Amino acid sequence: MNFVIAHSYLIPLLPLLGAIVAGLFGAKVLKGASHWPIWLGVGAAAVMSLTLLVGLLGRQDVVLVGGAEHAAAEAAHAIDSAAGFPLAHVSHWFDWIVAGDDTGAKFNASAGAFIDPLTAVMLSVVCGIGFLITVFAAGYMKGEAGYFRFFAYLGLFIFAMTCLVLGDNLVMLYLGWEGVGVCSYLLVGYYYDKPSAREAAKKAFIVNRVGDFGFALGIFLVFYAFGTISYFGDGPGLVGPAFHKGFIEMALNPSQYVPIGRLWALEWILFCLMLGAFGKSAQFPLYVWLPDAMEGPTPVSALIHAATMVTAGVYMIARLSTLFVPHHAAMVTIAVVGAFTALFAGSIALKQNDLKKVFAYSTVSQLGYMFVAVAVLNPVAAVFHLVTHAFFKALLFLSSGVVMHATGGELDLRKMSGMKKVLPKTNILMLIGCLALAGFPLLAGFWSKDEIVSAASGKSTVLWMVMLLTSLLTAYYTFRLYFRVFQGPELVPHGEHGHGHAHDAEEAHAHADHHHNHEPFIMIAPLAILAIGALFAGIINLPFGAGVSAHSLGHFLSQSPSFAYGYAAAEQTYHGGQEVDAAGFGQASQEALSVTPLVVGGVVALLGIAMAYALHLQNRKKGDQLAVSLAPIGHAMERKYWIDELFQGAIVEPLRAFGKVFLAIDKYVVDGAVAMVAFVPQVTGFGLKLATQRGYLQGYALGMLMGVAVILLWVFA
Amino acid sequence: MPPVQINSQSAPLFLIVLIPFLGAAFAAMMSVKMARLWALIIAFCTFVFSLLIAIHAGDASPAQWGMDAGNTLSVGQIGFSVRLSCDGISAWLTVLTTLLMPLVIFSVSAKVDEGPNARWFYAWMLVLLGSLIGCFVAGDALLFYFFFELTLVPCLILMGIWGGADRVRAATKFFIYTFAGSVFMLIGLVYLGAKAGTFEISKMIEVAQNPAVISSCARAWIAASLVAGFLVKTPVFPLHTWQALTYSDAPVSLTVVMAAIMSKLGTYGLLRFVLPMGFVGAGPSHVTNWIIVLCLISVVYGGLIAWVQKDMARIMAFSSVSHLGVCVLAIFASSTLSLQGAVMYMLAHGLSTAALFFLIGMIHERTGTRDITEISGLFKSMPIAGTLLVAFTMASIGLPLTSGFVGEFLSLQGIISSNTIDSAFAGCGGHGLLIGAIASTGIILGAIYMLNMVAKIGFGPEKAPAGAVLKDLNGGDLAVLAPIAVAVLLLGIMPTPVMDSFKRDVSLLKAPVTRADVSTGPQQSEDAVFEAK
Repeated sequence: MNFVIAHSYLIPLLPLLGAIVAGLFGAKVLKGASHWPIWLGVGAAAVMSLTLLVGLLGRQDVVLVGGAEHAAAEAAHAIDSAAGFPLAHVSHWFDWIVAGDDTGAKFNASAGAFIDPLTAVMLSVVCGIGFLITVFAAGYMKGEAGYFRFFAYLGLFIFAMTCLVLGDNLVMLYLGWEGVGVCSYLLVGYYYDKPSAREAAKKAFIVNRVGDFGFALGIFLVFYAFGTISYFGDGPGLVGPAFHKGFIEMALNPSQYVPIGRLWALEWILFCLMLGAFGKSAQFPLYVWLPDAMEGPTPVSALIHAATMVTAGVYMIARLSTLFVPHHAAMVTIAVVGAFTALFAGSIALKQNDLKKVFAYSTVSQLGYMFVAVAVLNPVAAVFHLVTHAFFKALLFLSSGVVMHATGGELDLRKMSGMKKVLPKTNILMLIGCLALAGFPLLAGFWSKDEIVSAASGKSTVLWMVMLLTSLLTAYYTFRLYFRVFQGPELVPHGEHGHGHAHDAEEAHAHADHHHNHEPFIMIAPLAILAIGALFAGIINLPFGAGVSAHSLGHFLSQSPSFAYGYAAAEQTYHGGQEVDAAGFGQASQEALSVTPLVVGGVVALLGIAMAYALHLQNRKKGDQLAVSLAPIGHAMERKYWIDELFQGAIVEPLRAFGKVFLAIDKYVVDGAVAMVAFVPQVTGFGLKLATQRGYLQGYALGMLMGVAVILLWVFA
Repeated sequence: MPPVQINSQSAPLFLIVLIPFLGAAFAAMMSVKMARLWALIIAFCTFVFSLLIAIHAGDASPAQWGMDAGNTLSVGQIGFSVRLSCDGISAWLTVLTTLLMPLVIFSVSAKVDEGPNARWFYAWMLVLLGSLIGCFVAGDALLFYFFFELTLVPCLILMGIWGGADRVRAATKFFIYTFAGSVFMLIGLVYLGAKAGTFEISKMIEVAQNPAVISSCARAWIAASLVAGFLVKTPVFPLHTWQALTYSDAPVSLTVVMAAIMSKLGTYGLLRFVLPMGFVGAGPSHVTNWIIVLCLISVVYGGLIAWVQKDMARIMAFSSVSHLGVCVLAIFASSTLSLQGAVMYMLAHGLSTAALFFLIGMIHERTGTRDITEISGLFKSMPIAGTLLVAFTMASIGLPLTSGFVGEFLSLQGIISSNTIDSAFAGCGGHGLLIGAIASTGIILGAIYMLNMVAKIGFGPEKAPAGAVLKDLNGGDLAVLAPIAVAVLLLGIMPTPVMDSFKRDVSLLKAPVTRADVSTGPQQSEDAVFEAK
């Protein structure tokens, strides 16, 4: 583990090297073996990440959960002492951007890593699940034109994503943030000759840029207020004149560090950063790019648009919770946006007929849960749900990929049925994924979602009801899909009648090897590992049990300075009242296991599944009739509440119209004014021309020179 | 006339200015093939030279203001002198010029060689190179003006003879526009020089800062005249209307030089003359306010117009208006941070703009059009061109790890944390965030118009006008683009050594804090705010 900490730069570097090798030599030399550099690079990064995780877990101080108060007191104490964070390491790679005066506020964006439990968890998700997906992709993308290009982009993506979670300052975070955005752009537009892919790629990047605009402003304001952009400076808890402090630490006591005239910026910072988080993590109203991004190959949807990149916003707010917690308005905004997005996207998912679109809206909805968790002062639950979601959503997307392979690119769930006979293994894997997503008792999603719902219930009844309703919708739409596709009478589409659906290009290649084994080992093996995660990942943070097994993720995360300071900030803000649940920051566990929320959550999930069973398996006709009777609402959901049209009509078109008006102004008014000004010498020139037979150009030049001469005479006279 | 004195330290400066002019004289006497090779060698020599100068520019002591050549020629009482001087800023802009020039000469299309008088093309290119270098290393205001105007001559000739269909109109408009602008500039410089009794820039700066010599009314007029000249060149709204026509009708090689290097003469002039003379700076000043407003308009207006343009060269022209608006704003933010950002922005913008214009030229050569509605799906037959187009687009819109990011990000950071900007508009603070936010919309607009262009020509089903030959880039094309790509990445990954080499120089250029008409009381420099803590 010490090796990993000392050589943390290798984690982003190795996938980058893999990408460079694949990019340079893939087309001519490696060809069908282009996945090897990426496998090696990402695999090595995954090994390093897991080593780091295990190493940090082994090194954590084993404060047993029994003494909750004791742990909290110790955490509070830890903030004062330099040695309070044995699991946190700052490592400096090189000076990247250093600018500004030596005295005072120097803009110092060093390339370096901040390693703590949060980083380790994120890295393991990114590299671990990332590696599984690259393995799957080698089978899935086989024979695809531009095979090397695909893997080069994947390597580049892992590079950017690891920079994002490893970075020790906001500019590194921004680097990763923009980097994953570009990779997402390139991968969504992978089938570049398809107009729909082109539009989706462009939309993904531009909508993300709207978020990045906010993020960048947030960084500018952090530097403006704190004079640094480093999370923890030379290290959390260090005191003394020789040490640079980071802004997260300063945020605990801003009046001591922020110049008085700049305190106003603190609240603006949060809303700016929030815009960035909402853009990247596809929250209302910036979620519009994510469903369209399903134009990319399915492994991309699994990796980037479900498991890793889209969780970056949640990571950002968890990392910076110390800044967010003291500002009530910001927290309420996050809670409202998260809850609304969860419900809104969940309701759109009800009426989507494309497998991947259903899961895309589901992802948007689940990300809403994570934001709610952060907002109700429970970042541990957010990270918990992030981890379990990464497992089961990657599983679901990749399973859809297998379905797509078997059906020749068909993804419309109305056109298939009873696929369990054709795809027996995928049937089981998909079932596990669906159960986990629906929150079926004892599976991964059940524990993590329940933690969020019960945390929300402690804050607001409305929030709680919204979350529960969304859980119901989630279970329903998930099993509508499952029952329609895998159960019931067998109907396997053969892709001949693709009628220009969104996946023509994939269809072409899928069709080519249509008669081969639909479930090759290279694709099923990674799915099996993900399925194990979807079944059992809840273990990492069970709400009961003895010793370290209970709340172990929370306990681990509590030793991240971000969570410790976040907790301290919450304590400061709410004076340790009822509002702050220490367990939310992993600082203590609840004294007693509350069974009620667990039971309610389980019942809701079962209810949703039962409804789906009744309407989509037992009696599909009835389901169809019900859909007809609810047609107006259904239509609104199917058309995604016309949000895309609203954006187009209310923002894009008017801006373009402005562009056209400006162009006309430019041509007739601005340039016209210039022509008017030029008219005066033109007349003079005309006069001169009559008098001296000179051409225009010389006329102007002469006129100007004479003017200059007159002025010079006047000056020197 | 005093004897010519050239101290050993300044010899490289004289050489680097003289070599291109001498080379031009020889080139005019050679055969076409020889002239091309000769021009290439000369331009490459200046590159090597300038790199050596840049590496050592940081060494000279600040009192010397970089490398400084002594008086060599004085005329009458006003003390015009051939004085060359070079600090880190000049040095790196010279490197940009001399890096791009060999590539420009190398990339000149075979069509030019086949036409009449092709050797003159190369000769004039070298004259242009010499006068551009001269601008950046001039230590005397009149000498600067001389080179500044001299750049117009080769431009006019190259455009008028080797330009596109509308070349005469474009050349005329370009000449009149920029010449008119620089006449205003000359008036300001001459007035100031007369007051100072010298045209040595460093001494003029001292005089200009002295309220006893220059009244506040005169100050405003001088500022306006200088700013007018430089903003035409940059250009900033509403002085930009020469640009789109010129860029679309000049020969590709000249467009690259104009967009990448000549536009920097404007920003360089603002940095070298307007800023240190204290015409703008802390406290309310109408000139500053006007410039801020114009820059903000440029950012939004240029970006939106670029979005609805169809000609790639025009898209790039308006994108320059948008980008350089931020750069000028960063100059007037006047802190070490923002100025370092502004200089990086100039270098980065030069690199990415040059590469994109080269690429546009290459696509034009193959398809016969620059209209983005006439071509699509080029990635299929031209994957390397497509990859590079995406890569340089990303550099242009400021992706981290490219030079564009460093320049744009630091400029915007400098604008937001600048007291100058914050206290603009009648001294009431708090406009910093608003101004910075409007300037930052370039982040979104840049993505919109650039990706729109890339999506139209690169993605989608393949389409090209009849007669198009969709061959991918050849070795020669790659030889032109590869050095720029390397420079973009180097400046993006390791910008700190370069920024350090002109850190001291930019901090000397910062607008003086003590000013005659600072009515809002003592201003705290933004760099000092945190010192107190």
